Amino acid sequence: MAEANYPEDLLYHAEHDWARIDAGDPSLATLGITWYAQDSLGEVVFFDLPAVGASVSKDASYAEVESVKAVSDVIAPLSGEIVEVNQALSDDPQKINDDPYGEGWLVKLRLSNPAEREQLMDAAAYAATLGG
Amino acid sequence: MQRGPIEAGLGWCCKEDTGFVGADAVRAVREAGPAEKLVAFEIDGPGIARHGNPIAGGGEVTSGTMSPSLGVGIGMAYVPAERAVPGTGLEIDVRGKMRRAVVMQKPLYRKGS
Repeated sequence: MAEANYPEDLLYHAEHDWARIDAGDPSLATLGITWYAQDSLGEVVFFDLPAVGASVSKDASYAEVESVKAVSDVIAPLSGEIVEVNQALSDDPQKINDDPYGEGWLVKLRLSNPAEREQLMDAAAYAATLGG
Repeated sequence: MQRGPIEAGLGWCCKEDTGFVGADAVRAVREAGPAEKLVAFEIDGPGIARHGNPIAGGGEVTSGTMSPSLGVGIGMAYVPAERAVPGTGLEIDVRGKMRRAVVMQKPLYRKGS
């Protein structure tokens, strides 16, 4: 998508990651990178899928995303265990650019500390950190 | 590791007889043969090697990116001279993951290939 967009139903981390808490299961979250992150990276050419079962820690890198020009760490907004990875990205990593909040999701996490969500920002607060 | 024009494959544009600064060093490498050579490579499988990634057995990547035309990671690297032959397998340490690569004939891309 060409226009900056930060959906209201997501939680945001300052390192340009989002989390969507499952509506029916508050200990399950989907993670991805924000519109700003994919726009800064440029065309994503490779996403090295992390392993299902790996544990991730809030504020630590859990994966790498590569654009034509650079490699960037992906920072976890929440802690937990990876229960699913977006296999479609191994063939078509550009989904991260095309639909960062939809088909470009990265992993799903079983949260080890759901209360961490209190430390994340809402869409308005995150957008404010980008300085317009 | 000191690298000069011979290692880089640029010996054809150095005339040591003109006595330019560094001519003696270039002549010594030309006569003895370079310890390393600059080669082109393709990654065999997923992954993209980048500038500075070390190569198992010696050498390093000088530049690397994803080739949209070829659909694989490509790059240039200095490798020990005996491993500079096209077809030679390499193992590149890409931020902690060993990625297999193959030394390729240059140029990597020809129109229409």
